[in-house]
Amino acid sequence: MSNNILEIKDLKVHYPVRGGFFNTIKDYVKAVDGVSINVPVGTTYGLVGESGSGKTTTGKAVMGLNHVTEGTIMFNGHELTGKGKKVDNHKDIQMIFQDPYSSLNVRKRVFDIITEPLNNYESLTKAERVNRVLELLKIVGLPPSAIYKYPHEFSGGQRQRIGVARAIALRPKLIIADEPVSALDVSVQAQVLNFMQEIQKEMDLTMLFIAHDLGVVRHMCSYLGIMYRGRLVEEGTVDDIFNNPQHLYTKRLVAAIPDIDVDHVEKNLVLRNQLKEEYEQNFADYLDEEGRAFPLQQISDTHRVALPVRS
Amino acid sequence: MSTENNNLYDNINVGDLPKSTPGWKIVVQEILADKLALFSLIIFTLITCYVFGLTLFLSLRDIVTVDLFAINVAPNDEWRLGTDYGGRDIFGQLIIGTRNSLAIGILVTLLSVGFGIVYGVICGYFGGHIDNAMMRFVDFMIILPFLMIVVVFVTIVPSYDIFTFSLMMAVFLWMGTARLIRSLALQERELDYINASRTMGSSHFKIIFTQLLPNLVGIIIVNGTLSLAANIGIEAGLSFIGFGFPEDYPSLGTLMAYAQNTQTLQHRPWVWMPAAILILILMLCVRNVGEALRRAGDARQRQG
Repeated sequence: MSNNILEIKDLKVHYPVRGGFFNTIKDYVKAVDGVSINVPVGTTYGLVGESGSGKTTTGKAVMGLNHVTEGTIMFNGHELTGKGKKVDNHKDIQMIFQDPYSSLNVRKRVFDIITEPLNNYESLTKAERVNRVLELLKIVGLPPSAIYKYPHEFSGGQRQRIGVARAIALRPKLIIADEPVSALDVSVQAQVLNFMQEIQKEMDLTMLFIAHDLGVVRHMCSYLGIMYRGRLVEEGTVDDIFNNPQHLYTKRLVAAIPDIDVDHVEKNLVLRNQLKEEYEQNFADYLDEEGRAFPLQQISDTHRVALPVRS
Repeated sequence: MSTENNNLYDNINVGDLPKSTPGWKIVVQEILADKLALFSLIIFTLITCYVFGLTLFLSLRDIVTVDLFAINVAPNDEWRLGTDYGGRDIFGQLIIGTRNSLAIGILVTLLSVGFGIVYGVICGYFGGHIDNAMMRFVDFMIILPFLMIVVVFVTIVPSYDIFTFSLMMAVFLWMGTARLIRSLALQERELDYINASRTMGSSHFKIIFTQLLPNLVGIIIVNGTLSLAANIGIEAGLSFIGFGFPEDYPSLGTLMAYAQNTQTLQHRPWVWMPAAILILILMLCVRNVGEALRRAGDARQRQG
């Protein structure tokens, strides 16, 4: 498919575990173990999974912040991985970080933070830079008076907006949002998410949205990938995943979403408990000998599931 | 965006936007708020200005010339602080000695802390094999016997001046700073703002010196001032045991060395006492100012 802006093929990120007298490699931690994702232009792809399932590692591998053990990452037809082949992808791919407190340098004013990418890729005069920063502050809904303030003078939600302003400063094509709202409280979450959707429409952005909150993902994404222990267990449109989950892991995950339907509380509880029992009894069947998901099988045009291979 | 909101962003005079208090102003506020630090800074500045100013009018040759008719004179109108066993003016020696000691202390601190910072920050930022190799070199430098090498240096080098002597000291005094800064840089580089800078295409060099280093300024200042006090002390100590500057090149240490003579120690306090008090005052002043600077760098501890 040519309209995919990002194609990840069989990505593996392994970390060696060293030990023993000679500090030799004893084993590998397989943080990401064979993940393939295609993200079409202008859509939001949600990557969901429990902590330690390799979502963030996948995102960082795309950014070039991790080493890649195996596999290829293609961005707009250019390969990002591989030796000796250095494509400077930072202008077109940007990242929004999880923690708005550590991702902004406390010693820098908002102006310096937002102009950092501009200084690296565009030569602008001081006045032009000020105008660009004001423009960006307007987009993210911060007052112009914020420009010469330090990050500690802002709340968590406002800081995350500064992070977003920095990420969109170069008008990137792809944004990797690494749990952008998990550090924020719920009322601010909605604000940040809504305005991220707004900018996405305005700037025709593609987003790889990493999250563990299914409600947030449903709100934001058009495609979803569910990760478990470094592999995808199920992938499809939001509709596929939420209304027709096939993998037991996904089923239980979807059933765990809190329901505000008061009339059916009892019924939901029974269903949930049934799933829990089934999960505890049969989940091992859904994994291979190493406790990992099986390869994905296509079950419809958009829906792929790691169903057990009956041999 | 509503039109009302749009007006907020139009017609902005950039100069009118509020600015946060600049760094130097915070430092000034902090020192003004801490009376002890203010007092210390005034004393230190006065001593430094007086000493450096007066040395312009004093002749080292006149002061260190032996005058057999004025041996061990107690302080009087002609000799304000008396003379030593060679009839040399203690006051003149004290002034020039203070200048030499301060110059060495400051120079050694600048050289050793400066090099230590760059070395440590490179180790900590890159980590891995680079860190491993560079830190083994630090370990090697630490096990070298500082005192012995200084003694050999002083013995074999025919003549040395303030700069070469400082350089020699700095070669053995940068490791502590390097280790400290490395450990902090290791911590700091794990924070997301470093990753963020990488994703925005900044070079390693730029990240180290414009992103990482400003976050270590507080520690660097504390380390620098404490080193300054310590280095004045180390120089005085070396001169005291006779391996610093010779007698005809006075420093606070050479004046203190006169106290090795029990007669001088007991009956002629004017020879060594002023130098001892001056060392004490200088070190305390530097430390007090350093404390205030440290608080200025840490918003949570500010008093001003």
